[in-house]
Amino acid sequence: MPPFTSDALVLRTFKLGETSKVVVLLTRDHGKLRAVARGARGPRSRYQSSLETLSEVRVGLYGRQGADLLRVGECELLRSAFPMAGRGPDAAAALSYFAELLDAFAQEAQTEDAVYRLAVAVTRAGEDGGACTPLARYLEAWLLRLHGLYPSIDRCARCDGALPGGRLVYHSLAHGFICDGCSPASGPILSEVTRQGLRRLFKEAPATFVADAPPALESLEAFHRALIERHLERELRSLRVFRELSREVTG
Amino acid sequence: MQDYPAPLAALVDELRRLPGIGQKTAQRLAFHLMKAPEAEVQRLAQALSGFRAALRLCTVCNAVAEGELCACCTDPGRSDRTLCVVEEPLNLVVVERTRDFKGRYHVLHGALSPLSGIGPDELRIDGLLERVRAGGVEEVILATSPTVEGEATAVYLARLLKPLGPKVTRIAMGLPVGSDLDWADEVTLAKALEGRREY
Repeated sequence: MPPFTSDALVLRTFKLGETSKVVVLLTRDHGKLRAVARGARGPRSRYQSSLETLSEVRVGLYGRQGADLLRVGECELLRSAFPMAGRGPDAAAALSYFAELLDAFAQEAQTEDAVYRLAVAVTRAGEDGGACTPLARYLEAWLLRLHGLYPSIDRCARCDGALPGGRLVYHSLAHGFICDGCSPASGPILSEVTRQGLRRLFKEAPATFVADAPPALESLEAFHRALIERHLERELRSLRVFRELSREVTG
Repeated sequence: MQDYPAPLAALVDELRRLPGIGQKTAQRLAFHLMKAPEAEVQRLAQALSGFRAALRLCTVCNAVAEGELCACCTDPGRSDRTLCVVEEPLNLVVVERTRDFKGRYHVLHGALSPLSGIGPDELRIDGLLERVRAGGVEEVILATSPTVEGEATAVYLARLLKPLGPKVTRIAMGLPVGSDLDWADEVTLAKALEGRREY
């Protein structure tokens, strides 16, 4: 593979040997990639803070054709999420949760520009002081939607008719919200206020949305978790710690 | 590992389980040991079999100790008024090498790491709070790593410790000695400026 340069977000790093790291990157042009950053843990690492979770970097990558692991060449830090960690333990845990969520949804070497732009926008909103919990709901909802996993909030999943106004009634077998004629529901019910919040979520940029996030978003946490776990067939590890720390901080 | 006699293959297999050691290094180490004098190999074997039984965690600070208490906790020349909090026992050794710190330590045995499922309950935080509540501690130095996980741990501990009374400080972050200012990235330089001091 010829060397190439791409903008990327650092999703995760693993220790490799005495001084190196394996870096999982969400690149704008080549999707999710893994690469070795030699000497990244050494005393005079040229990567410095650029390989911290959700740092936005411009990275040079090279490697053999078909190799599972590429090599990191130059790595220029464009924007660091590190200061967000200093805001509080909940913000640091949110960074980890966002990174794990993106890692879980991204496919290896599959370009998803919309996902990349979403990830950058959410991370920047967090760095700029946006509240972490509504940002998490925003990222979850959009990731599910971009992968075709978020049920329509306008059409009935059974009869395809227009859903009436008011609350949303979920049917787990139909994997969507259903109208009154197709009841009874078998899943959670989302209130009208939550539905309005979802409409805003799907219309607004993350920074605008979290600046005035509706309080009814709390009911979305369990709903999103169920959708995510149904898709991934596992629970995300960072979610438990993120929830614990968020609750501790908000009292 | 069918190419080697069984005892050698077993040794290579065990060595390659160690962090930072791959198949090739394990083979090299195994062949080195095969050629080494018998006494040298015996010393290594004794050290390996004896160290687990001889070592435990200090009941006060969680550092590695030979008895109930570690050398730092039993040293009468150290001040009880300053506590240095580190992530791992190895970090304590690194701070000790500076020869500048004469207080006591507390080892957390990790840092908050949501990606690894490590939350506050998995760290040795209760013992730290007990030591501070017991009184006499005037300053707690948070010497966790300058990473997202280390920073999160420091912020979390600061929130718990400040209401208990002691001064809570964080080790400075910034430029390594001998490095070039031109190559510093914005976060490192910002931290260095933030932690500047008056001459």
